[in-house]
Amino acid sequence: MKNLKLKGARAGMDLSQQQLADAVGVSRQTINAIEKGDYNPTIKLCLAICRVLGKTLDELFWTDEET
Amino acid sequence: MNTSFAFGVAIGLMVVIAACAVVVKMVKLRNGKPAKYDERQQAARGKAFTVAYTTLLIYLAVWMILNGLEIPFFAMYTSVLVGVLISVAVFAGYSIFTDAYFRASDKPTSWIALIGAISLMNLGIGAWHAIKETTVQARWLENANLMVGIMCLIVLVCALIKRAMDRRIED
Repeated sequence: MKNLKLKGARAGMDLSQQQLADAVGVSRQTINAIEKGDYNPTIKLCLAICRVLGKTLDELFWTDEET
Repeated sequence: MNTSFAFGVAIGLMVVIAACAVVVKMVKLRNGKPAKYDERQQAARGKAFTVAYTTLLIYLAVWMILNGLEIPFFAMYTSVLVGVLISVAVFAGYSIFTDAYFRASDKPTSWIALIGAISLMNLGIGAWHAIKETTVQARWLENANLMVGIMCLIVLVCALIKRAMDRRIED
């Protein structure tokens, strides 16, 4: 399932995938895979992304319905 | 395999290990800190190792069957090398296409150039052996350099295809 919340939050801060990747210490392809729903990040990486984007885990990674 | 040949192989392996150590040290010095694969890349590389290991087991099974049937195959030492090279190529190809071969801090162009140079060098030495040797066995079936060159060429082609795919997506 695509993570549109993350994509929206990143775009809201005017950050590219590369800039977010550099800020959290991963590759651009990893951020791309998370946004596309191809990769489920660990809690450590989720927290790092939340810190950079100024959001909570719920705001970026919580889903109401599981598919 | 005679003693001098075995000695040559041992020296060759030591030179390769030393060269790899120097390259890794140079990369670390240039980047200032040890480069690491991120968590997705580590997971993808783990899967790549599994696929490569399975490939090696399948290769060994085929090799044993063909050897048992006394069907002409590579020379003993070359058949071991071919198995290793095939599994390395599978590992590299899988890693490349899952964006797990180069670290985030790596410059893929430098690595691609290095792989190309290694490929060219081995293909050159292999071609020289193929011309110089008199028997078909020595020309092709025992030509380790040619095999290493072909493996590097496969990795190089995979890296170039992935690069072209990424560029097309970015455009």
